[in-house]
Amino acid sequence: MASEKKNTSPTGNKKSFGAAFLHWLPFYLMGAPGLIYIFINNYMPLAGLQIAFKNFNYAKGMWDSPWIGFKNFEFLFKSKDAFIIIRNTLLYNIAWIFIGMVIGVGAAILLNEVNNKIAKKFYQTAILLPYLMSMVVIAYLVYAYLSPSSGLITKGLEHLTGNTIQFYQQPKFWPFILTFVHEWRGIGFGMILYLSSLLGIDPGYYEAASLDGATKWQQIRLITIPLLKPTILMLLILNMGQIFRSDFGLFYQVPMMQSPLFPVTQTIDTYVYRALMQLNNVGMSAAASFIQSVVGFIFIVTANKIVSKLDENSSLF
Amino acid sequence: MKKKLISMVLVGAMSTMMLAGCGGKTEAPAASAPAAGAETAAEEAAPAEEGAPAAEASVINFDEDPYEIAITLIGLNESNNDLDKVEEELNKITLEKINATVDIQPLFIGDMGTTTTMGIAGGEKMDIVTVGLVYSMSNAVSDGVLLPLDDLLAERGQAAAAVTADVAEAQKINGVTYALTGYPYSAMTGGFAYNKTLAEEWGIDMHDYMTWDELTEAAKICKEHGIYFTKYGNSSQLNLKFESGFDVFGASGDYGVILDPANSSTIENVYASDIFEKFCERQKDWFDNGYLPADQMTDSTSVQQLFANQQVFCTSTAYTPDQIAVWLSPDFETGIIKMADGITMTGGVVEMMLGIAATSERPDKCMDLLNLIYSDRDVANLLNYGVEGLDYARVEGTENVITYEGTPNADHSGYYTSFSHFGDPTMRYVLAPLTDSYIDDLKAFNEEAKRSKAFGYSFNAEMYPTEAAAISAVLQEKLPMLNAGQISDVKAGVDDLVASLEQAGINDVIAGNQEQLDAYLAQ
Repeated sequence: MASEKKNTSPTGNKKSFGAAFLHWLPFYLMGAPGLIYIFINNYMPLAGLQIAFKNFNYAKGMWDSPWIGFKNFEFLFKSKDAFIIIRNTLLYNIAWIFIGMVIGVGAAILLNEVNNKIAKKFYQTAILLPYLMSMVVIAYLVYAYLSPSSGLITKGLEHLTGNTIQFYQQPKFWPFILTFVHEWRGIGFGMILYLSSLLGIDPGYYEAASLDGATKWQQIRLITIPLLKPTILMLLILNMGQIFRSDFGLFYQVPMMQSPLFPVTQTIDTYVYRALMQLNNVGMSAAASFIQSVVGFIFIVTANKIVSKLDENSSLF
Repeated sequence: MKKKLISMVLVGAMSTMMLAGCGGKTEAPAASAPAAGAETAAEEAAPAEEGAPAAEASVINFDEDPYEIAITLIGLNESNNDLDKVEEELNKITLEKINATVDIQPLFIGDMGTTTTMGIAGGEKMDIVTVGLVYSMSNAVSDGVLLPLDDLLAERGQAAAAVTADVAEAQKINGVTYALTGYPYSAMTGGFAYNKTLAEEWGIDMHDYMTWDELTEAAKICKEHGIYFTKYGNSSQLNLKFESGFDVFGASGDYGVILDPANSSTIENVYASDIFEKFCERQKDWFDNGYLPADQMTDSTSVQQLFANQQVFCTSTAYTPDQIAVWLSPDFETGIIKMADGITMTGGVVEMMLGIAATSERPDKCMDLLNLIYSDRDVANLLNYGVEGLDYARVEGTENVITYEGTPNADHSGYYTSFSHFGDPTMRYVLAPLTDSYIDDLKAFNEEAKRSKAFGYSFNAEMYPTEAAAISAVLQEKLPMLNAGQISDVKAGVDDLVASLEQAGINDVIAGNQEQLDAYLAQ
């Protein structure tokens, strides 16, 4: 560094570069751990993408394993249920992105209206708590309500109607059960970003509005929502990248691995797990996540394009 | 200015990447180097032996420094507190007999495949590795993990070869021996373990080769007394195999099944067979009549647990002369019946095996130890059971029987493996509740057992990864309901399963399997 400085000192232009560099150096140093982490964690493994197209052999290693084209991808579409699996993954994700958005924004606005500091902290923690629970625990919580022999809801309905509903054998209930569980678990985390954006809104807007006689509803509709729009759109675009992935724990654990429910609970991740559990085939697992990433990428770019057409300032890139 | 900065960052990043790339590339030769070294070591050792190949003493070079042989011990993350003491006792013998020391490396059964393959790829020290269980020998061979053993066996593994001679065919892939079995006496069949105390009390006649009608009759009596007959649970296994002597390819007949392996070599799709449909109908009959627990699909209590709690009367199980030990309970007497004749199959032999890592520095030393395991009673006992007096005690009044009870190892904290089996079972101690007669029983059962026509053959599924994955997924989706008998229309359910399996390509796999088997039998 010192020698570089000496070398560059004669010309004024470079001197100012050196000075600027020195000025920014502490910031780059501060950013360095994060950048290095991202590089190691997110960029270096990109070389491993080739495994999806190779007949991976541990003894030969990643670089020397033979290429086999798209053969690793075939098993994803070999199943009779390939369409159902892809449909489940996409529809759940699309539905949950919008439901999550509405509930997240709603919860954030409601929580923002709570003035008592202790009460606010309490609600926020209580809402966030399920997010920190393991899916296995959640699966047994659901089971406690729906178990055919001792479930709270099952038994309650039995007393009311005289019929025992076999929840774990009837697929028709599960889109709703899974949606409920997903939102119940995710809402606390999903609203954090909205809540922080809300806190950033200048209270002056609301004061001015209430002076002009705006109702609470009008304030929300005309001030809060428009100011939240960039955050909402950003999260929407980011979520699009996850559209071909699914919450493995939710779909695998919560329905207690019941095969009659597969038509509505089998997603790409659970299918890949079930298909490869015994085979241990690295190439095929890599192919599955490769395809998930590619589809996610396409959706992100498309969503961003649409958003930028509608409102140029709100797009991500 | 910014651009320059960015370019500098990029240059930095790229150079890191190049370094990383270098690291990755150099690893491969590094991993193969020890193998090359090992070969030359073996070659160097070879001329010395040519003079007197028969005499053991001259084969082993006592002038060099003792080599440390790493050997895997498969378990469930037991603490193995006495590992050092077991190694110490072992080393006393091995230093004297083969001029080597032993390093026992406990390994969690679920990690077998990844740890072994990554270890080989990463050039870690590996000598004797375990295959079978969850990481089959054929997978290990195609992963390039195992060293061919034939030359070493002939040179310095005569005892090991002699013990496993009867099942040698099953230790080979394409005519080359890659591993030595932990089950030289591997005959087995299917059966039921049952609660003998209750059977006597209620007058249930449980006997070998029971028909399904007789079983149903027994189930009815259990129901009258208020307990379930058995439980299958949310299972995607081919449970029918536990009531038969099928030779099954793949975990659940994924690659086909030989229904009568003693007399036939025809591989077929068991799920399309009449017997499977009848089995499913029987299961439905049992479930509808209340012989199986109503919540069997969602209740995760294992059948072992229910059997021990006397909540179910019996359970289907693999049948071998020592299998009863698995089902014993302090609260009642256990009985076991077989549903078919004992049969010796490749699957039993390859269940758990020891091989030599392709990257081992001294394959010759590894073979010396393997040979010792099959010929030295003390070495086999140490590896199987630990140190006498510390990890197990002799049962008084018996010749060969030992027990963990009354020793610090009663809770399996000292030294324990439920998956690894070392050496010749007729030479080792016998673990109580088995008795001295076990060794004779084992020999008799194996002598009586028929041999599968496909014995020695194992299917190479490498050409069918796509089909295998799809078949496995189908079985997990469609099989549990049929196994549990919780389906309204058995015929439709079976037809749907078969159609899905065929869509997944099971017929291609079975045809390929048959072709390989026929080629094998033609040799």
